[in-house]
Amino acid sequence: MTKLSTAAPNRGKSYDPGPFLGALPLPSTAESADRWRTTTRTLFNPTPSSYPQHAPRPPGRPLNERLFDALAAFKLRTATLAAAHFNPEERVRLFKQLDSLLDADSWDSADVVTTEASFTTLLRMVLFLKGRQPALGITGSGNFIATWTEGGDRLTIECKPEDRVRWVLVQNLDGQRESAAGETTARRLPIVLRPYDPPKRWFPNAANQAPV
Amino acid sequence: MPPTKLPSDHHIVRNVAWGKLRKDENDPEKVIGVLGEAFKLRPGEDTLSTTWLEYFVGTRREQIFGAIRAMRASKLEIKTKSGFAIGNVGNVADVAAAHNYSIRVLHEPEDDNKAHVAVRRWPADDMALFELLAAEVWSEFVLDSEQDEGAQAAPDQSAWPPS
Amino acid sequence: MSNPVPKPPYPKAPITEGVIHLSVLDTATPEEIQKLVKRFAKEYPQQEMLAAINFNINTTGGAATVEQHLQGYRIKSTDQADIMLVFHDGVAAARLAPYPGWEHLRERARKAWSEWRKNVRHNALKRIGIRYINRIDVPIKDAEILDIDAYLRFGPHVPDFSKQPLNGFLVQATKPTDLEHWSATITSTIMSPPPLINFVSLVLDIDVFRTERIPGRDADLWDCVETVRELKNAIFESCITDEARKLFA
Repeated sequence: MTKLSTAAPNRGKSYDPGPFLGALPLPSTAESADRWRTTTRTLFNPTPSSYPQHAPRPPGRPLNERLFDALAAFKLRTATLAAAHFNPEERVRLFKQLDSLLDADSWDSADVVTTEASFTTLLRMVLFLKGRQPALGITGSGNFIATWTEGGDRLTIECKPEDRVRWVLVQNLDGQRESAAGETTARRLPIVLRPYDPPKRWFPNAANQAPV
Repeated sequence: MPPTKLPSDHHIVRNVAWGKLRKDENDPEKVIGVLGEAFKLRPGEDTLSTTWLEYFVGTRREQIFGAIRAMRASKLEIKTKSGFAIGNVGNVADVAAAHNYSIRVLHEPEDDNKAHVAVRRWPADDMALFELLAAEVWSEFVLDSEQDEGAQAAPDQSAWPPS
Repeated sequence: MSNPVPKPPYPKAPITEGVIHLSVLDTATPEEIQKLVKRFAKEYPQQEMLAAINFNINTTGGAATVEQHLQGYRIKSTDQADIMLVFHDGVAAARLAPYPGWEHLRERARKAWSEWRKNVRHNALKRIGIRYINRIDVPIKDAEILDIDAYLRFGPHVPDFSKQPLNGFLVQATKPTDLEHWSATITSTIMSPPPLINFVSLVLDIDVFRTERIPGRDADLWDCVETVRELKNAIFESCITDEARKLFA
């Protein structure tokens, strides 16, 4: 038996997929871990999806180019992060949503283009909750919004970087309007929403996964 | 002349960009409502910008056309597939008050929109309030695509105060 | 009653990336490369230049410096799942998840090579490689100990000097196969931090390659590549356990 600790060393960094061949997590400082990671990358051939670009995109590009690049990045992230966890229909549906949202003709130019960091949180959250795929919206500050709606009941979750989520639930319970809001991590969402019964119908499987 | 406080039974119209409309989970092109995000202030803003529905005379439909036309003619960028959320002033104020915000809904005409209304003392970012408004008292919406070509808007004249 | 063990082809194959790479002895000119990239503009509308990274490590001070220079082009389909790399010394066709099957990747590679031969003068092959990167996502609830051996047969063998579990690992081995002229490099490691919440992700990277007596005729070349398909599948199956297979159902 070769035992592996499943708790990744805490280096205070957000999830960054980078090239698929991840770090050698060392129990030393983040700086030395980064050096080792850089050094040992010479051992591996990068895969086509992970080759870095020649130069970063210049700032001040037209909006349609920035939206196009963002859309491409989200689709690539879906392929590399979600891998086999989305079935073809789910993937097609997600891409249609993204195509619709990031259409330059309907994008408010005063809004910040949605970020990969927010998209990563959205993907990780949706895969973790394993329920109905949400509808999508965006904030003016570059975050995705995931929404579930059933009649007058609505769950709205803003996906911030580093797995942070801000949620609002508005529902009718026994003829009374009830609302609740908070901020937590994607991982704790099922626990935080547990007192509110309706979320079960949106992601019933999450309750089985949530840490106690 | 000080700004006119809007009567509580009147309505204000807020432009909502495509990304801030609530969609059907199974059809990304089908709008089913408004997201609370539509009511968030942008950095640098200190009032929520809206347009006075009853500024325009005519049927309700004509008033809505009038308000939309006024917004389109203003500096505001109205993109395709955007929507317009219509809220009752009194109801909006009541919900805000329940969240401890004493808002003021004032007619403050601007050069590019004579029906402009500024909602003052509006919170910059209260997602719980905004979602509740979007779910309840500011949930009525009209899509830009629903405006008929050539439909007559109400004359651009103040309907208030009534003569 | 335990879950049945699925057999290949797996409903949820853990492939994150499949690559067929053909390298030639001499280099193409920049003009030949650009002509080739243009030929694929319709199928791969998104095109970007690639950088090569050189790491230089000062063994005295330990400082690492990074240099970048243009290496080729990466061109992608609209949905980003099909990728082609065009280098000065070869071409690679890659497919990301969802993996639609061997035929899809093989045909893309075949087209890429066919265009290379039409547009580039130098096309004597020095290496062909078929590489599959697999990511085995093992669900976990709370922080606990994971037995790597329960999922992988290719992993670290660590002396028992401590009762503590590993924090991470990386194992790589290269070995000739029983198929003449073909060798395999197998790498296994853990993705850290894991890409999914409540999962540990074990990576199994299998690169089957050949650097000698590579067939010159196209028909023979692709027959050769087809033979390797079974070999790389067999290597993959030999590296995983039934517990891993249950995750692919």
